[in-house]
Amino acid sequence: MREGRPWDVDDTAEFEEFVRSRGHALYRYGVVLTGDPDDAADLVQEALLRLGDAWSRVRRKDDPEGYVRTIMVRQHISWWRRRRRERLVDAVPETGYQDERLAGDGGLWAEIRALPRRQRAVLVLRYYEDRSDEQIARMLGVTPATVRSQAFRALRKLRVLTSRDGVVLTARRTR
Amino acid sequence: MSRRTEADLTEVLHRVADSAPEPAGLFAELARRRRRRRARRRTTLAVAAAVAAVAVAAPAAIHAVGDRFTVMVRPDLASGSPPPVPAPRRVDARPAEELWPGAIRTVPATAADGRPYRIMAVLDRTRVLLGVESSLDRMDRLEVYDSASGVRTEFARLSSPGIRRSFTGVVAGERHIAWRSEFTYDRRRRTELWAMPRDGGRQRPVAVLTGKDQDVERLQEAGDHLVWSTRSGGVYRVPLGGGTPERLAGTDGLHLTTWPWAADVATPSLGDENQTLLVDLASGTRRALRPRPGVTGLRCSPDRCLGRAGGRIVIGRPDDPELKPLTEPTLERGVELGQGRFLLVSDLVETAGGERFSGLVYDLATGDVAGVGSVVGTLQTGLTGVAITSPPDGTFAGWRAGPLQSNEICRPAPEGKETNPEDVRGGAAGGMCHVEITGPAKEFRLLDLTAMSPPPPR
Repeated sequence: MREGRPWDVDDTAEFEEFVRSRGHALYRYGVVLTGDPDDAADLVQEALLRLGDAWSRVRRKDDPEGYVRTIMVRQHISWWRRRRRERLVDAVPETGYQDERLAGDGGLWAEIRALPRRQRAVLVLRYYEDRSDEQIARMLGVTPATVRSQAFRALRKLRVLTSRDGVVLTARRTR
Repeated sequence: MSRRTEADLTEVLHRVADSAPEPAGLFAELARRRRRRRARRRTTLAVAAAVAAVAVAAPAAIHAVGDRFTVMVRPDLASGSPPPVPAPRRVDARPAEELWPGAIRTVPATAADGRPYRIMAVLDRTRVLLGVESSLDRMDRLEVYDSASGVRTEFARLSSPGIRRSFTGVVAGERHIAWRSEFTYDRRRRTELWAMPRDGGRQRPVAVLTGKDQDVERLQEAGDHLVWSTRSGGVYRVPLGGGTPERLAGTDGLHLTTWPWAADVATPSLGDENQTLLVDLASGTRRALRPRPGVTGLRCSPDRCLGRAGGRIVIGRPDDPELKPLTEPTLERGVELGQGRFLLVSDLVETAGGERFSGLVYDLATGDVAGVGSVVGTLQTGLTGVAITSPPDGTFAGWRAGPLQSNEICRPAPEGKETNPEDVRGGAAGGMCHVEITGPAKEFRLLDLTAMSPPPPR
C-alpha cells in the first residue's frame, strides 16, 4: 500500500507495459474461462484494474501474471451466481464466432461452455494453462481432492478418455 | 462418436483462445477506467498523509516504454485547513541539463498528425527513433527525428497491415533495428522477430516463434545474429538473414543481460531473488556469485554488482563481497544505464536551489548525481512525478518535459449519496479535488548515455 505518501511517482508506465505485453494473452485466457468474448473483456479489465491497484506490491514478487490469472479465475467463479440469473432471463443469441471457428470439434467446445463454471475453470487451468492439481487448488482456494473430483466430473460429462481411464480399461481387458 | 482425449481438450481450448476476436479498444478503455479509479484513490492517500506524515517510498516507472500521467488529489480545501504536505526529499544534485548539457536532447512529443510518439532508440548523436502510437498498445509507424535540423522523417511503416502486427520491443543494434510482432495467425498465437538495416531499407521477418517459447526478453543484435532469452530461461539465436531459432547449449534457466553475458535470474530485478551465476556465453566461462547475508535482488555484470540491503541500494564489485550503500533509504531498486556506469533511481526530490525532479541519475564512475524527470503540482495541491522511461539496453532515459500544465478540479460531494467504499472522498465536506495534467507535454527530454564523455582517469 502507498498510504501516507503525500506525493506519488507515476508507476503507470510500467504497469501499462505489462498490459501491453501480456494483456492479449490474458484476454485469450479470459475467453476460454468465460466462453464469451464480452465476458472475457469485462473479466480481464476488472482483474487488471485490481492488479493496477496492487502493482507496487505485486511487481516485487516477480509474478504479476500469476496474480492476475488467479484473480481472473476466482472472479469468474464468483460472478457465476449473479450472471447466471441474467443469462437465463436474457438469452444471449449465439454469435457466429463459436460455430465458425470450431467446425470439426465434434461439439466439444459447446459442451465445455455448458459445464458449471467451477468445473470449466478446473479444465482450463489443467489443460489450457497446464497447471498441476496442487497449483489449481491453491489458485481456487480448495483442496487438491476437490480439484480432482471437479475434473473427474467434467471429463465424464465431456466423455473425455483420460490416461487414467486407459489404464483401467487395459486392466479390465486383461482380467 | 469417436473417443475424445485430453489432447483434444487442450487443442480445442487453444483454438478457441487463439481465434477469439479481440474487442477494439479493450486496453484503451482500461487506461481510462484506471485513471478515474486512481483519481479517486489518491484522495484517500492525501487524507492519510495529513494524519500521519510517514514517508513511504512509492514505486516508479522504470524500464517502461510509455509515459501516461497520473493525477493527484487532495481533500477539499474550501471545507477545512489544508493538510500539511511534507516537502520532497532534499538532495545534493544538479539538473542533468546543467551537469551534462552535451547529452541532453529535446524531442517532440507528438507526430505531425497529432498522434503520440514513444521514444524507441537513440540512433546517433542527433537522430532518435520514435514509434507512433495507433492505440495504447500498438505502434504502426516509426519515424526518425533529427535534433540538429529539427526534421522528422518516416523510417518504416508496418508491412502487411491486414494482420494486427505492431512494432513492439524495438531495439537498435549496431547495424540493424529489430523488433517483435505478436499476433494471431491461422488460429495460433505467433511472435515474429523482424529486422531492418539501421540506414533504412527493407524490413524483413527473421524468425517465427510458436508454442511456449514466445516470451522474448532482451532481444539484441550480436554479430550476424539476433539473440534473446525467454521468460522461462534459455538463450536463443537466429541469423539476421532469417532462419530457425537455435537454443544455445547449456543455457537452461539462463537469462540474457547484454551479450555475451547471462545470469541465472532475469534483469532487472523485480523480486528479492539474488543472482548466483554470471555466464560468458561466448567463452563458456561460468562464475559463481555469493551474495552476503542481508543482500537481496543482487544483480552483477562483470564489473559491478548492485543489490539492496537495509532499505538502501548497495553497490560493489563481483569479486568484493562488501557492498557499500549508494543511496538514502528508498523502496526503489534502480536501473542501470549506459552499460552499468550510471544508475537511475526514481524518487521525488528537490535540490537546494528549489528544483524538483522525479528521479536521480548517479554517475558511478565520478560520483556526480543529476536530477531528471518532471514534477507537477505544488506543495498545497500535492506533487506528482512524471514517469521516466528507459529501454532494457539502458542507452537513454526519457521523460515528458515542461511546461506541463496542470489544473485543479474540485467537486462537492453529492448530497445524501451513499458512499461507495472504493470512492472515498476527502475533506470534512466530503468534496474531492484533483490535479489533472491538462496540457499534454509538447516535448520529451532525453538523456543520451551514449553521448557521455568518458570518466576522467583516477
